[in-house]
Amino acid sequence: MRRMSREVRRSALAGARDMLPLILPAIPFGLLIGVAIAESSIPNLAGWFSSSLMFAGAAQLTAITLLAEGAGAFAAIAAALTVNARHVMYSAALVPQFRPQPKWFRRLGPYMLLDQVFAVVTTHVGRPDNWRAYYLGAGTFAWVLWQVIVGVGVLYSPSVNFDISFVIPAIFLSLLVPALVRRPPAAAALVAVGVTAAFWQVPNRGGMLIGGLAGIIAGYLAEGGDQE
Amino acid sequence: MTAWIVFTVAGLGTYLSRSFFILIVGDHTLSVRAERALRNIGPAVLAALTASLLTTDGLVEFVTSIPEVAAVVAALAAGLWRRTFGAAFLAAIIVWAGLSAIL
Repeated sequence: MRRMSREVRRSALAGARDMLPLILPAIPFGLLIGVAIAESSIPNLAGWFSSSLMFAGAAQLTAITLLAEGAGAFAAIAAALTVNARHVMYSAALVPQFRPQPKWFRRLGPYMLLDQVFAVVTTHVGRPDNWRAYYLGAGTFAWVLWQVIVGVGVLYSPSVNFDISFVIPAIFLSLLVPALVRRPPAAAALVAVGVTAAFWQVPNRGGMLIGGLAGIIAGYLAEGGDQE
Repeated sequence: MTAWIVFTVAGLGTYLSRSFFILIVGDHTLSVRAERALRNIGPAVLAALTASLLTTDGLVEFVTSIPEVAAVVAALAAGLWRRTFGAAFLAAIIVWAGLSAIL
């Protein structure tokens, strides 16, 4: 029993450790959101709470920007949810890992499912209890850091003027590449990249949704499709 | 008050989008076809997310950015060779930072 709990603790720490390189490049982005809140007419407390209510950087910035520009509540909500539409695919991707989990985790876990958490946990393999600890370690670490970063941005409004725009896609790419040695995931990824690039002009990262769906179909066909 | 309503409703919507399949499928057993379809969603979505982020400024801007294209090639080569996240990421960042400094 004691050995198992030690294992679980180790998984949680591994989750937090693996999250670190993904969440560090998000620091300027979080500061930027804090600055946007501080410089808008949105009450600072409400703005800062958007970090825990939504826990989704891009959608958060979208809602804040639109509200600051005088858009109506419906427009701000619709835009934020459109930006987050890709999360439905994350949910579908993690069904096999969530299925053997206890109910409380199936209900609580998805709250933490932001891009970086998805990227880390989708490639992690482990027993259900270890996977859950890994997920919670990664998600909790990202959550705490995000609240602090946005809070610092709101309070101190630092200037963010260095370019690290390539670091985040480089992390996602690096997490993906080792999985590409098998043909079906390689086919899924290749088609997803091609279609997403072809539809890059679709607003609110709509190209990503189209590309993701095309990749899923390609992966399904490469796995054997309808053959039993 | 509007801001609180917007953030709360958007937060609820975000939660629903993240939990949709996880809560719907729940304890149900999936067919072989469904399992097969789910198997490669991770790589497909991760690849789409990467491509979407790389083309944020435009497709032409990305393909003509030598540091970024070279870094992607380096990440692919190192990642497929060593089969680790670290090798791919290190290769990408070294190539990107190095070429960005020179060019």
